[in-house]
Amino acid sequence: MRLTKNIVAWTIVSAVVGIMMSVQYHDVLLGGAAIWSSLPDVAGVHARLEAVTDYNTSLSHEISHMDSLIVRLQNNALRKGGSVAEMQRQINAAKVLSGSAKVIGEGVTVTISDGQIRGANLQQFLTHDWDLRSVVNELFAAGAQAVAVNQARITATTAIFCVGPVVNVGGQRLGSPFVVQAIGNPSVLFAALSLPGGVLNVLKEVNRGLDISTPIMKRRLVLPAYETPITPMTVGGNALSATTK
Amino acid sequence: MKRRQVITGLAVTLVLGLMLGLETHIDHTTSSNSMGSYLAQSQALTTAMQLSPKLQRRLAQDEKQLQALQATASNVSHGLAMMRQELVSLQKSAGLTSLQGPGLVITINYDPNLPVIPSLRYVDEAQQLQMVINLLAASGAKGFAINGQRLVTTTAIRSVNGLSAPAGPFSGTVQVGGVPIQAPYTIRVVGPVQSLNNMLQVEAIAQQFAILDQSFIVHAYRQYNGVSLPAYDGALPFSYITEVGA
Repeated sequence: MRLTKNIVAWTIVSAVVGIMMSVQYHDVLLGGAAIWSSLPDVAGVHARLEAVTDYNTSLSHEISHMDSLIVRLQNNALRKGGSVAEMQRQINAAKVLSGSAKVIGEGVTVTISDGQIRGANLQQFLTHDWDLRSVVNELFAAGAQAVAVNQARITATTAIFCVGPVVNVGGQRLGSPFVVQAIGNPSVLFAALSLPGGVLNVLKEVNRGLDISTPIMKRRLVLPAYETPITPMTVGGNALSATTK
Repeated sequence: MKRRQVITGLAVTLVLGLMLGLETHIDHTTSSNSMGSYLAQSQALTTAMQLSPKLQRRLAQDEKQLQALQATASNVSHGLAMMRQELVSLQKSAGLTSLQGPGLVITINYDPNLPVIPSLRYVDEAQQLQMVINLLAASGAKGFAINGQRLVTTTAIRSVNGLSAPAGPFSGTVQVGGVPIQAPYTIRVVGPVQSLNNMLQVEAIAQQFAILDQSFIVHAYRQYNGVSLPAYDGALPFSYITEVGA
């Protein structure tokens, strides 16, 4: 009887001591001073992440506010006409063509995903850089005015190439599925992608077997601006010379 | 025997207590303090820190643009000068200005002296050109022209015959931005010479063209005005697209 009581008492004491030890350990760890230096400073990283995220959010808000002011002033300038309006039109066109502006318009989307593995040749069922390049090129050939793959806007100097398990599009690493969005005449772009024997048809063929959605015409597509600044016009620290027409 | 059982029981209870305490405390203090979460948060932190300078640069560009517009509203001539600066910078990025700089001039031509491999001979020439342009872009090219046609964002390089049609070497069916071009093909590229050259060598592009009976000759120009590209003078994208907010 007495032994049973002792066992119960010691059991409770052991459990409580165990809980206290673990709580103490975590309190110290979460306070940023790990008991052992090899332990990760979770709280520290978390706090820094929150701070940087807050900073980025405030920058984004500021950019958004400034963008609305810019657009208002641009529209005013265009309404007034004259040389300012003409220059503003040229600026807008250059921004759209260079990919440095977020743009809106009608167009098409198509989603390209890796296919189902059905044989030994795994490579055939993966989406490769040249597959995406072919689709992007075909869209521009059909008159697309802007194209993006997932969130990567295509520009004149955008390279699309495979890097291990992902595809690098203009410096952004993208994985399947790849959503290709193009702004332009929707019916023409749709027809170009739906062409029998055309680029999508080839990718769907049995020896490739990629999973490709039917192209969808959209009344409104919003494409992001090129995420990083357009490649600086310098080579080896020297500015490149440019001449306006 | 009983004593040993008691000690074992107490040890097990202690461990259970530790586990219980850890589990409950983790849930009550933070939802993510495992090593996996630490790595995920570190990765998120790296991404967030990489985004900050991009946003700062974008903000600086916006400030400059806003200043130009505000200046235009109060003093037209001063504002116009600032807008012109911005326009030149944007036109440069868009390919609307001619461009000079160090770079490469690559000539691709039919060479009957190269070994003929009939099964490989018939390839889509446009895709070959696209491949070269893509490799050069990946190695830091700032601008390109093929047979005098400046490449811009909307430029397609396309064989008119179609992807599945049998195209022969130099069948004269390539269009660059809608303009037909014929062999020999001359690619002019402005960019870091060493990096561009390295990429072509690593990818053995000359050898790939050689088995298609095509010579691939590269000349490097390291001077600041070594390679000249013409300005793009084709249509601008206006009809279906507008800047968000405009």
